[in-house]
Amino acid sequence: MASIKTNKSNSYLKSCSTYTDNENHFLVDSRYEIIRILGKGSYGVVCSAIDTKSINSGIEHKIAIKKVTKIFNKEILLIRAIRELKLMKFFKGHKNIANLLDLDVVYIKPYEGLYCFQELCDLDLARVLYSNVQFSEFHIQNFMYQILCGVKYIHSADVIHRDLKPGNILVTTQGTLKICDFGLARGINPNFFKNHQTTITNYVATRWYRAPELILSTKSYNKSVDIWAIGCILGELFGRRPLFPGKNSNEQIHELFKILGNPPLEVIKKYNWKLDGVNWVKYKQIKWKTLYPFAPNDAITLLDKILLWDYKKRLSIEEILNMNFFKNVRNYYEEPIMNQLFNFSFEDNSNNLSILKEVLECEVKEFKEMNKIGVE
Amino acid sequence: MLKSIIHSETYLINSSNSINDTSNCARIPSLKNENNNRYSTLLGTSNSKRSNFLKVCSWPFQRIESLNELKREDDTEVRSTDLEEKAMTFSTSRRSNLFPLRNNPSLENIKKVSSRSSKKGSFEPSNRCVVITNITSSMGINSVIQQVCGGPLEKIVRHSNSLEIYFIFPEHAKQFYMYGKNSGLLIVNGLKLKVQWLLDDENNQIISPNLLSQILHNGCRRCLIISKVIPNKKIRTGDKMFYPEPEIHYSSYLNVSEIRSDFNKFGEIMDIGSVISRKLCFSVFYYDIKHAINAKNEFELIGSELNLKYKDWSIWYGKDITDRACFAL
Repeated sequence: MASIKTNKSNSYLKSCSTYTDNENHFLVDSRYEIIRILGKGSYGVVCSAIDTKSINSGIEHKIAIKKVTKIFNKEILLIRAIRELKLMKFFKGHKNIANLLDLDVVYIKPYEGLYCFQELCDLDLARVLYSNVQFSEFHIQNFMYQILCGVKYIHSADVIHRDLKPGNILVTTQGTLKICDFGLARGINPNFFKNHQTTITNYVATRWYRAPELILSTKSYNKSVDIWAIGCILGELFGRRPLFPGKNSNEQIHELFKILGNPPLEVIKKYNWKLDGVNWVKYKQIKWKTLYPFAPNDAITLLDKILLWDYKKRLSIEEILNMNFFKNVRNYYEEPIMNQLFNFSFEDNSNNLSILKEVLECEVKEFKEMNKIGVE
Repeated sequence: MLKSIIHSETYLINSSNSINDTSNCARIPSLKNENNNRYSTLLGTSNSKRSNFLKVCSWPFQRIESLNELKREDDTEVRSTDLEEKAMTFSTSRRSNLFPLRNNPSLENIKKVSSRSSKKGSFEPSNRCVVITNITSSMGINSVIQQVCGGPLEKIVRHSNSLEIYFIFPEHAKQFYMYGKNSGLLIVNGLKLKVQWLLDDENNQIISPNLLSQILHNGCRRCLIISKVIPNKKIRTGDKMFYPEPEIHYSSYLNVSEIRSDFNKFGEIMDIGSVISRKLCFSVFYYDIKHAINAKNEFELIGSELNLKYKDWSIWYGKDITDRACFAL
């Protein structure tokens, strides 16, 4: 690990420390000491760090730093970075959504990118699922309920997350869940679509949690893609393995067939799905009770009503919360909604890199000023 | 298939370390101001039979006997200097944890230290109660407490649109107050909360010496962790992820409503948590540390109703959710 002090003329960083290994380059305020790389994805890199400024409080404060890369070359990546940043700010303070602490934009190569500083959690749900951890009906209810509360908050602003999966749900050892990674999330309220085209990409969500309408490329989709993912997670909590682990897009649809059976003819017609070859083989639907014989009936009912081919028939987030399965863990006072919709009209400038850069800088500056970080 | 899980975008976490490394939540020593260490009472060590449990539940627990052990270890650790970074953090953090014992904090100590560290006139030296205002009806208690940080709490007192947060130690209260006052980060559901010191009622400011000594010696917290070993469950070691057997890793007999009524007898429960552990495990958070102490005493009283009902279960104090660092400005 290299740790050097520089006095680069960055707008916020007075002194900074860097971290470099073979392929990763981090440049952060010298208050942060980078420990190690935690993970990588198409978006960039995440590492853990110690906030040395908190040391005199007597408690070691570990944080996660997400560096979103390549944003200054490609408009779409920059738009996604701005969306993520705006959404993290927008949803800040919900108990089931990851907490944004600080932001930085760095232009100096090879460190360039958007840096998001977040609270570090001990685990994520994938780590919990695929370990010795003991579950009970209460555990599954409580985990699901927390995910639902987070998604309710997100959906109430007319935003869809589009990438819900166990790896994107952080878990503390105390059992608190927090949804993170808004890199694929976006607003869908038609009022903000005025000046740009309404098509939205289908190639979202990690394959195993991708709703059938995304795979079969129906032109429009809505919040129910998140509901589908929630259903997949519920099944996974009982089965302790992914419900539909397709190895590629074709196999993914095949995995759905194997458990849900062939989609009903009227649904295929309704959405004009081209199934051709796949539909040749006939599959019978497997009963959830056969798959998870030990699961309580309320959970079985829920799976039945969520994992449906026809996305218009899936329950909404509110309807899921009202289901019997959650009656023991539900707390009406802890289910807030947003009082405003997410405005994504900045996307009107989707092909102007320099305007987008300005938007990004404004957002970072605004967050810093609001939180008085780095402001004398 | 598992490979793709590992390589999927699961970021932020490298649990292999956070699970096993108990120093994770141990205090690290402060070089600038050693006085702060007096306020850390928890021990970040796993010993004997609890170590398994702690591998998953990485909270530190305090036990008198383990303190003596640590004192001995302390001497040897000083000699080993060229350890790798991680090991160093661990040893230093353990050493720092001895400060509460050496200095044997008392009320006078706390007062002395805090008055020294606070030069601003508005700050009451021994004030440990921060009042949070600007709370609306859309904010549940758990939503608010989830955003509180600085250190463990003694109790929470609720009013219609404010909360009195009593920290155990004034220094922690001060950190939270500064965080709430000087940063825009104390937000619940998009709304900024306001903090102020509780000014009236001098009696409330002082924690009873009896209670404080219990907290310091037994590590009492408002959180109880109740766990039960699953018979015949093979535990896989190592950090590799695997597909566990669903039925063995699922207990169908845990009844939360019953737990709630069993533990509500000692005081109002703030929350029951689904704890992440290889044992069947849940937590009970009270509003007041006294209720947790009473519940634990009753639980451990041989022959009591609670003791008989939960005879296969063990109970410990757990880390308070507010016991984490405030983001410093």
